[in-house]
Amino acid sequence: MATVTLKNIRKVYPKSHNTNKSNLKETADGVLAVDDFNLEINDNEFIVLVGPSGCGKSTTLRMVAGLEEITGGELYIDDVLVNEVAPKDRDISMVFQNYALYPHMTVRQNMEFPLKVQKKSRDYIDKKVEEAAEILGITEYLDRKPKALSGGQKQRVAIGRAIVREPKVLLMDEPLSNLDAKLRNQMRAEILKLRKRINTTFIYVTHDQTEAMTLGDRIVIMKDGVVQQTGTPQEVFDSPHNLFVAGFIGTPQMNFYDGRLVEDKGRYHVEIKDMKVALGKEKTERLKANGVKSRDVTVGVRPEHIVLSEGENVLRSVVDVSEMMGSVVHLHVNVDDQDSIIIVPTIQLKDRSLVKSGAEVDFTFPEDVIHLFSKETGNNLEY
Amino acid sequence: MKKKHSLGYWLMFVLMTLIAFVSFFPFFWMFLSSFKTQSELLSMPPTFFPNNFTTANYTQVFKQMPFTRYYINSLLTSGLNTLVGVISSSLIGYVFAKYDFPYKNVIFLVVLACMMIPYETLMPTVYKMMVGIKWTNSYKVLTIPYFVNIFGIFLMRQFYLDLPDDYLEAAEVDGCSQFEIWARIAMPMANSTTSSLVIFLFMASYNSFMWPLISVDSRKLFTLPVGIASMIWDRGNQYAMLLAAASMIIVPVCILFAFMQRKFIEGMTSGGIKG
Ligand SMILES: Nc1ncnc2c1ncn2[C@@H]1O[C@H](COP(=O)(O)OP(=O)(O)OP(=O)(O)O)[C@@H](O)[C@H]1O
Ligand SMILES: [Mg+2]
Repeated sequence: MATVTLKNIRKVYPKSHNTNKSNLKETADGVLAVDDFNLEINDNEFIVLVGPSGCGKSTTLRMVAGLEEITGGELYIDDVLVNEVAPKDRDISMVFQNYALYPHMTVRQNMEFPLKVQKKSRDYIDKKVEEAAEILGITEYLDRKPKALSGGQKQRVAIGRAIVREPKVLLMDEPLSNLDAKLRNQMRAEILKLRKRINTTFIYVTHDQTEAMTLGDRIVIMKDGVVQQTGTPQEVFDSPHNLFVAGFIGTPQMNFYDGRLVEDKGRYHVEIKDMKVALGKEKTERLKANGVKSRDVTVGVRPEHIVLSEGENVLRSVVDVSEMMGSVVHLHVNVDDQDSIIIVPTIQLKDRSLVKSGAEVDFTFPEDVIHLFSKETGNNLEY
Repeated sequence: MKKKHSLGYWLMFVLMTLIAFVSFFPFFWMFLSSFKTQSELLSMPPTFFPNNFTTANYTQVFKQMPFTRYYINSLLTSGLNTLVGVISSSLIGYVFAKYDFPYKNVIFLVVLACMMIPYETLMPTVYKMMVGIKWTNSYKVLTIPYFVNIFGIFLMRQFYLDLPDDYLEAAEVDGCSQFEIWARIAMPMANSTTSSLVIFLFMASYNSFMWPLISVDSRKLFTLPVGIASMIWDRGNQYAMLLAAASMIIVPVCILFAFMQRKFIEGMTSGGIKG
């Protein structure tokens, strides 16, 4: 149980000869893997760091753990500056992607290890290990060596080893990425349950946005070492602050169209090809507050917000492929050579021919699901 | 599960058996011959099994020289040298593999260079040094120069280079100090490589002859190789007795090997010894 505060945290890796060019900014001393990271994590909060490979998630986590030196900025755990504090004195524990179970120890010895290092009493150790094994359902494997466990079981042991100590902060670096899809879903649910049973602040790293959305109280979306947006899953889904976040969160991906925002006597409307959509009161007010004038924009709309329409004011498209998902159908359509995805509830598909490729569909969307991004910066014009 | 073995397998099997036999034969002959009289041993044609079985050679070994003393000297010094050598190799190798410090590579190169100089050429210098600090003719000179072994450092470093950092980092967040990480995680994980090193260092010390010969004069400090050589110089070649002594000398090595064998072989095959 603890608060964690990251203030202007930076990480510069010294240049090495073999690093090929990456998206990262370079400074005189090396590559900037994490830049100006600010976050206040509340007691008992579950924070998820998410982003594509190489964006600096692990680096950030390892700085919190104390495994990586902090180049700049301040890190506080419970209001104590810990930049120079050794990992063992930070009262954190960590679950590694490849489990890192000690191969020469049995499961029980692995789980005991952190407590033994702390020289706790035998009774206390036994009690804690049994409790953790109980929670994770690994009691029957306690006397096996890690070699004789399946991936999912190893992962449980790794989590067990991390929770026996009741750390202030529990760090997890892509703990589920070595598991197959089914097991991953199952473990995800278990982590949610675990979270209810133990009182700890979680920082969880993943590149999987579904994991991030389902687990996190708040999500931190990173790209190229820079935080793009921090917010609850709902916030980042409903109001992505830029194109990257909009595209990263949500599957299938948000559709983007080139369009034009037109301001006319204090009212706004958006034009995409022949379609015109007038914006409602809320959006208008936010745009006004930001002083947005008429301009070219990128318009973003999520596939599930698109509705098929047969009226006049629509976008016309041709179906490429359609995927039957059961309760919904994913239509991959072409709008003037631009790909879009439309999700249609199966129940609405009376006309079966729609599902065939080559069919023509017209669609539109309500004004309140539109996201408007600057063409230059990619930032959301409303925020 | 039954599996049909190929012709290659059987050829290999026969070849291995042959090699094993050829390697083992001299030891077997030595052991049998230690129960022969000197005259039978030198007789032509040679006998394989002793005609007149005698244990006199064994009693003579203890009569003609302080064999027990030599034995204890050898075991004590080799044991200590092995223990300290393994720990120092492991620690130093670990530091070279897992820590960064200025001029690390240069220092390691210098260390390696030392391995390339034959020991014999260094011996006079080391001897003069020992004379200078008045260590000759003492247990110190039989042990301390063996405490650091460059091949051992190299071997352990090689192992630790291949050891994923994740284990060490896991230990670090689990609350270990830097020393504990080595002692409780890295060192135990190096088990198989360490076992090969134990055998290597023990043999190196147990068999060493030149250094104890020149650095020690007192009979009380003689180790087995020197003690036996001195007996030959004093009383000439008594082959039958020598074989009895030799049969007893190899016992600790056999025991050590039997203990370490499985791990030793694991170490040989699991990337322990490279280059
Ligand atoms: N020891 C290092 N030396 C130099 N550069 C490094 C080092 N470790 C990481 N980097 C670089 O820092 C950047 C961020 O790495 P990091 O491991 O934090 O990414 P990540 O977000 O965890 O990615 P992934 O999802 O692939 O694990 C990468 O571009 C990487 O190449
Ligand atoms: Mg990573």
